[in-house]
Parts: sequence; structure tokens; C-alpha cells
Amino acid sequence: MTASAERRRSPSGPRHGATPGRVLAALTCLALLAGTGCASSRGPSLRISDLGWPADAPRVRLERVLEPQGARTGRLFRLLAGQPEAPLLERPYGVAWDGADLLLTDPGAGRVLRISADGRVLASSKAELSSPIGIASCSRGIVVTDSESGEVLLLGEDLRVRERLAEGLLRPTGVACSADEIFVAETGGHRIRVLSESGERFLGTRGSGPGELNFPTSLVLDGDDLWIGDTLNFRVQRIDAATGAPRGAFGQLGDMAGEMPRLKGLAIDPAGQLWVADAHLDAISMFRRDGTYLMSVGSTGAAPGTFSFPAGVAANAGGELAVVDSFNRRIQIFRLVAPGTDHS
Amino acid sequence: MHSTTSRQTVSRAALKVRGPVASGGRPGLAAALLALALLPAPAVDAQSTGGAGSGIAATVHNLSVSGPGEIRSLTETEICKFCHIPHNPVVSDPLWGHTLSQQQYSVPRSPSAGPGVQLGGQPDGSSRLCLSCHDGTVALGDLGGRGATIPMTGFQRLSPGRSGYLGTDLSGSHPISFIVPNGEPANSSDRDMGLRPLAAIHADQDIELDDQGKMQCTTCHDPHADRFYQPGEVPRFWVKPTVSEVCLTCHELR
Repeated sequence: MTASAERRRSPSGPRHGATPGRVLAALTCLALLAGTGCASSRGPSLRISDLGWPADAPRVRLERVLEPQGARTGRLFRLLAGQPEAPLLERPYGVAWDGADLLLTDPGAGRVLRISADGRVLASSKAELSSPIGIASCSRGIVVTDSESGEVLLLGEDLRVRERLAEGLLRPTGVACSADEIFVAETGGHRIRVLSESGERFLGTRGSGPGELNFPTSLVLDGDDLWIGDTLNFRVQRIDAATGAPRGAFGQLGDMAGEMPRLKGLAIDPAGQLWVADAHLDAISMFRRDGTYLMSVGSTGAAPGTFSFPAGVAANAGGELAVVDSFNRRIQIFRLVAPGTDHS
Repeated sequence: MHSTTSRQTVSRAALKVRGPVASGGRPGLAAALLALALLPAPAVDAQSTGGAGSGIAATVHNLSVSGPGEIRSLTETEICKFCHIPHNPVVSDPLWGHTLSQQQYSVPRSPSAGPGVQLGGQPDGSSRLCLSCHDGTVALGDLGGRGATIPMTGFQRLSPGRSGYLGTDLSGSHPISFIVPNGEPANSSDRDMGLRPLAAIHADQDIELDDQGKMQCTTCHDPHADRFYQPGEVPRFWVKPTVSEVCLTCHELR
């Protein structure tokens, strides 16, 4: 979005001078319009859709694309070309900021990576996980969900599994944590499991009503609000993190920008807007918390700024939004730019 | 959705048997009609094969909140929408502008992202719909079969556990989204796929290539009907009773 904040639309409606010719024309138009049942008193005009750029509309720009060397070739090509080693990213999914680093899950390779801001792989786990999906940097350490083994795992700094926090979950995916609780979306159980020192509790049940879930996949905790990517209800829901009481929902099924046919990643940026990654639209969309649709970024493709199955998204305090472009095997990092700082 | 049989039964039941049959007429017909009219109408059965999708309500692809095996009166559209995403031509306008096009970014040229770089083996077509859920979140990703050998009769050169098995971006799975060539290419590599001629593949009623002649997920899996699933033996939504029969439609044993 490069439309500058200075663009203004002219006030709607043409201006008429009151020459006799124009008066006659206007009266003729009026007569015709009255005759055809139109009530307009200004004559025909073009509809102006004022996009309503508020003076403080931010911009989004793509800043960096992180992709391993040779990421663009499939295994078949690499084998035939004599490059048999596995790529650094096989099919990444989840992402979380940890300071200036990115934590990344790669269910295609069964492992977790830590990547620096300039693209160096600082640490990588062994390929010992089945399907690591969600990842979060919590007070106890790095928490990862394994959707195939049904476990919630605590990783050490070396990204090896240090402790199994929970097991037997029904396809755990999205994860978010507060100071003393870990929230896990159980996609196959259509509920949220909350882990803490004092035990477990559950939020939500299967359904399509307020507070009910159908294959939830992503979570964001914001104060005492838990935002849930309620994927097969095609909506984002907000509930009370303590009680599960529904506090609103928005989104709908469809194939147009701003809709949520395959909601995957969810994030909240420093300005408080929600970002939703959709794997069918191959786009990320921005919404206000009240559900007002703001804009979308991207379409299907492999060029920068396009996506192939975008998955996890994560925002940091500095205004960077990391998007895992899973089938393009890369991470695209966008920056939210405040107006008036065009060249920052 | 009613099966054809039930509709006919209903209409037969509506036929009136007019008056006493004349002695010289056709007593058999009236009796037959009456007997047919008294037949119980078959229950509307989600397992019936009347029409596409009629079996889906009982499969795991019934993603509606009531799930498979429960409320049978659920209309088919409530199940269809999860994959057959409805087109909504009228949506609210985005407040902050239209969908961005690539030109709107001034992106410095990246050495690895020049124009015309062709990604190898990107899934396309109907397989994209499958992969939008089968990524480890809504449903199992990598098809859950990483490293497992596909049980086949006879000796096969290629199997997932052996080195030289060629996957694409989908680890451990058969390549997809490629145009199936007609028989073995003349200058093929040393990997002999035993590919049958296209005519033989097309002749099979269960194996379908897409409208561009590509193999997709739907070539081996029918997402609407899970007729032959056996845990550990036959995958879900498989189009034939055994694994081998599907493979052998396109590949000859060597």
C-alpha cells in the first residue's frame, strides 16, 4: 500500500454554474429523472468510493525475505542435480519472535530452528519431533506443540526436548502463554487446554455458537483476552482467558480478500490490529479488533510479497511482522511503517 | 438428498388403484402396483451412492460441528462448504485500500528471487485444497506415512524406505501436480518407473487425472467416499480395495 497519506479525494458531486444553458439542462435532467422515478436532485454522477484514508493510516512494506540457499528446488530436482542433502527448511509452519531472533517450527523436517535477524541459523534441534506446529517463548522456556504426537514440549536453549509438559492432546497446534499459564489449541478436540502449575483446565467446546470452536488452530493472548483462530468456523473469536466467556467474533467463509476460508496464523501488531494468514487465499489480512476489515497483502505466487500456503505469523514490538511462507520455504518479514516516516 | 430408488417408491405409492379391476382386465397389474405401493421406502442413507458426495457425511471429511455419524438430517451444503468454498462476489470494502499488487512494493532485487525462477514441484490444482488442511493442523500433514513402505506385491524398485525414492516437497509421499507423460520418456533417467501408456491409465474408471492431465491427490484418493479404508492396510479415501491396485494402474511391476 503506497497510497500516501496526502492523497485526498475531491468533495463528491460536480459543481454547476448557473448559466441558462445549464439550468435548462438541469431541469431537463430533473424532469427525466423524475419521470423515471429517480429522486436525485443533482443529476447523474459517478459514485465516488472514498477509500477513507485516515491521516494516520500506516503502510506495510516487505522488508526482508529469509530463505535458505537452494530452497526453491524440490527434492526431485536436487536428487537429479546431485544435491541430495536436505534443505534447511522443508515445510515450515510456526514462528515466534524471541528477542531479535525468530523461532521456527518445521513439521516437514520434524524440527525447530532459531534464526537470527540476519538469517543465520543459531540453533536447530535434531529431527526428533513428529509435527512441531506451534511455538512460543514462555517464562519457563520454549514451548512447542507436536500435533502428531499429541504433546506439549518444553525445549532447552539447545532446542532439545527438556520436558514433556502434557501428552494425549487431540492434535495440539497453536500455543500462547501468560506469566503462569500455557494455552494450547487442541484442534482435534475443538477446545483450548490451559496448563499451569496447579493443573489443567479447558475452554470451549465443539460448535458454531459464541464461545464454541470447530478445529481451532491458532492463539494469541492479549491481556485477559484470548484470540482464537477458529479455522473451520471461518472466524476469529475473542474469549475471556480466565472463564472462556465469549467476547465477540468476526470473519466469514468465502474466497474474497478479507474472508477466512482457511485461517491459519494469527498475530496482533503493536498498534493493536489483528493479522490473519489464510492458506486458501494465500494472503495475510489486517483487521481492527472490532472486526473491521482493513486491508490484505499478497496473493498466490513465489515472488516476494506473494505466498504459497502462509502459515504462522508473529509480530514484534518493533513493528516487524514475520510470515511463514510454508510451501515457498521461506519467511517474509514485513514492517508496519507509521505515516510520515517514509524512508525510515 | 434422496436416492433414485426412494423417489420412485414414493411416486408409486401415490398411484391410485382405480376401482375394482374389471374381471376381463389385468388383475396382475393392480396387484403389482399395490404391492409396490406397500413397500417401505428405503431410508435416506448417507452411504447410498446416489450422486456425488452422498457418502461423505459418514466419513472424517464431515467437518461440520455435528461430525460424522450424528445428525443425518444435516443438509449436504453444510458439509460441502468446507472444501467447496462459496464464492462471495459482494464483500465489504477494505478500509485501507485494495489488495496490494506486487508493483506497489519497491523491493530491492534479491539474487535468489529473480523473475522466472520456477519452483520445482509446487502443488497446484485440487491438491492445494487438500494441502490447505493436511498440514498438521486441521488434519495430519505429510499424510502420516513418513518412511513407511507401501505394501506391494512383487519387487518394486521404488519404495519410500529405500534410497532413491523420489518425493517432492511432500516428504515421503508420491509426487503430485505433474503432467503424467505418455509412457516412459525416451531419454528418461536410469530410474525406470514402469509407467504405463496414458490410454491404459485413462481406461481405468477409478483413477482420475485432473483436467490438465496432472496427477493430483484426487488421483488416488476420493475425498467424498471412504469405501476401502483399513488401518495400516489401505489408506483413507482410497479409490480401490487395495493399495497395489492403485499403483499398478499407472506403474508396471518390473
